[in-house]
Amino acid sequence: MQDTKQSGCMSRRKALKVLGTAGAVGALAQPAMAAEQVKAMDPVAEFFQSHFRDMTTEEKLETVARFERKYSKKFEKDVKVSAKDAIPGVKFVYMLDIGRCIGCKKCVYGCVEENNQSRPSDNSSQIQYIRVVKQEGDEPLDLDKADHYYEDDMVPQRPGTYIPIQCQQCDHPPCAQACPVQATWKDKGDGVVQIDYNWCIGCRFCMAACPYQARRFNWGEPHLPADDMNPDTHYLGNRPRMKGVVEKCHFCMQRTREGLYPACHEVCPTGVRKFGNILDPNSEVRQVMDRYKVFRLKEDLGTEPSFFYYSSTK
Amino acid sequence: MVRTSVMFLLVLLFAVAPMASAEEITYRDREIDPLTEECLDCHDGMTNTERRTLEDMHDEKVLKHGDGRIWCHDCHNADNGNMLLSTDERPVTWEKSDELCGKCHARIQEDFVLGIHTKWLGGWDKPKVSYQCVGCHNPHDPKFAQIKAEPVPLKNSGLRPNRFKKKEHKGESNAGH
Ligand code: HEC
Ligand code: HEC
Ligand code: HEC
Ligand code: HEC
Repeated sequence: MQDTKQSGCMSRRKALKVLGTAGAVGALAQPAMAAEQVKAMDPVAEFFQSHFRDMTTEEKLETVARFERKYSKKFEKDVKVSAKDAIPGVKFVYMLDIGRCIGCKKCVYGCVEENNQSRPSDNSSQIQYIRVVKQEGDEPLDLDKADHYYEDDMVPQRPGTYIPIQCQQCDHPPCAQACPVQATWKDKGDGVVQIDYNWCIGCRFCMAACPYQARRFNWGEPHLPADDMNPDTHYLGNRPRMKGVVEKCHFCMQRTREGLYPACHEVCPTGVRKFGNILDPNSEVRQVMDRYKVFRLKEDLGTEPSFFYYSSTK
Repeated sequence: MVRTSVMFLLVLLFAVAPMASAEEITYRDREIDPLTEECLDCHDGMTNTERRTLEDMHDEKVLKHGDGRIWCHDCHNADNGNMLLSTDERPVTWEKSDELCGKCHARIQEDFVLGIHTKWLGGWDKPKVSYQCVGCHNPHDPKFAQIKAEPVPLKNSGLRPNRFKKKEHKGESNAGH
């Protein structure tokens, strides 16, 4: 499966080279084209589009406009696709209080709704970016002992520690290093590790490289009912994905690059999730860092996550 | 002498600093029991500081707070028509109940003001709106109430769809025969 996918993609790249700018891409660039014609050429343009990171601002805007047309038609609503860059002078950091997390998993489902993940159905899998694991008892934290499938009906059940885990937005992301086509990379500004789903070849090397099991693969065509589709999207964030690409948490860039909190932060009933700009001395994340001992998961691997944990009860 | 007074000033400054920003906190709109407007109707001059089981009124208020170490008047102002809550003998409005809680939970209230032990709404780069202590804790029974957990993730989550389905079908047809 992997082989066909890859070779299919190679031929796409080759075709692009052969045709060069003189081909369909060149034709598209002609300004005098009627709107109808542009629409008709959309699938061709998508096939030949280059890596999002290499696009000029103009090309980016053209690209997202094309995807807006595509998704608006498919989901029969007005879909926005943003191409917004990181806000200058901002580095995002997440802090989570595992001393008080009650393990209700509201973050998991809030994330799914915000980020247009595939819902479970006959032909598609359930995709969730956040895993909440539970460790029974009062023992020191040990992820190997933690249970992803705990069945507590009413939470919290103490003694017990609940640990939500999502993409840690590493400063040295092993996933980005593993990607053979650089479809996933770390933003040099706010530090979000992002994915150009149209550039992803589905080889899943990044998934093998991630020590936090934060990445998900669309084995089937994602199941996203139009009613459930969130139309406020970002090209590198929560726009609808397709079969055969990898996805993961991106700190809700469609929200956070507009100054909002991520969806998981918004739905949490306990206030244990803290998000903000670590360069701002007045931010909540800085207050936590000043007052509590913070740690990161699997620190010894040198991945330098931007996701911190602390406990305000100790 | 000079040095000690400078030190004293510094200590004072630090002690006051969190309070100063507490003034700026905007609170989330919240439904407050309409009874809180009527306390004075009955409690104008009527107070009984004796610790007892209430029968004639408020009989549902059985304190599950502080293991019997605290009583109504540690929180409700006995001299102020019971309309206000008090910290350090200072009357506090219903809206500012975190200052009351800070009387006995000082470290947590400091965290509250800094946005740590609370939940802020709005946005990381937008004006902040805070929950109040009583938005998460019932002051008369403050243990964070248990809530229902969301569903357990499916076991084959993220894997190839239908991976386990075929087996199920087989099982069903076997059972039929
Ligand atoms: C309808 C009249 C009425 C209203 C309104 C009322 N109370 Fe009371 N309250 C009483 C009575 C009567 C008692 C004494 C009950 C007993 O001794 O069994 C009492 C007792 C109390 C006590 C116990 C101490 C004491 O003084 O006896 C507190 C504290 C108290 N009330 C607070 C409040 C607060 C706060 C409000 C407003 C939110 C309020 N009450 C509104 C009638 C009222
Ligand atoms: C730990 C502090 C604390 C103690 C002790 C306490 N209260 Fe309260 N009480 C509060 C706070 C804070 C509120 C306001 C709640 C709100 O804003 O929603 C309140 C609200 C009330 C109200 C009005 C709203 C409601 O919940 O009905 C009544 C009546 C009341 N208290 C009675 C009592 C009585 C009677 C006692 C003693 C048996 C008592 N309280 C003990 C903190 C306390
Ligand atoms: C007069 C002192 C006093 C005030 C005022 C006070 N508390 Fe408490 N609170 C206590 C004591 C004592 C305990 C028990 C601590 C223990 O058992 O170690 C407690 C325990 C708690 C607990 C833990 C309950 C549990 O079972 O885990 C919470 C939550 C709490 N308080 C919230 C509040 C809130 C919210 C307020 C303000 C409305 C408040 N308290 C005001 C004295 C106070
Ligand atoms: C956004 C919700 C929220 C707000 C607002 C909030 N708390 Fe809490 N509080 C929690 C949660 C969640 C826990 C942990 C519950 C658990 O572990 O079972 C907790 C635990 C506590 C405890 C238990 C002791 C401890 O150290 O864990 C105390 C005391 C307490 N809170 C006091 C306060 C006070 C005082 C305020 C206001 C100044 C406040 N809380 C505001 C959510 C909140």
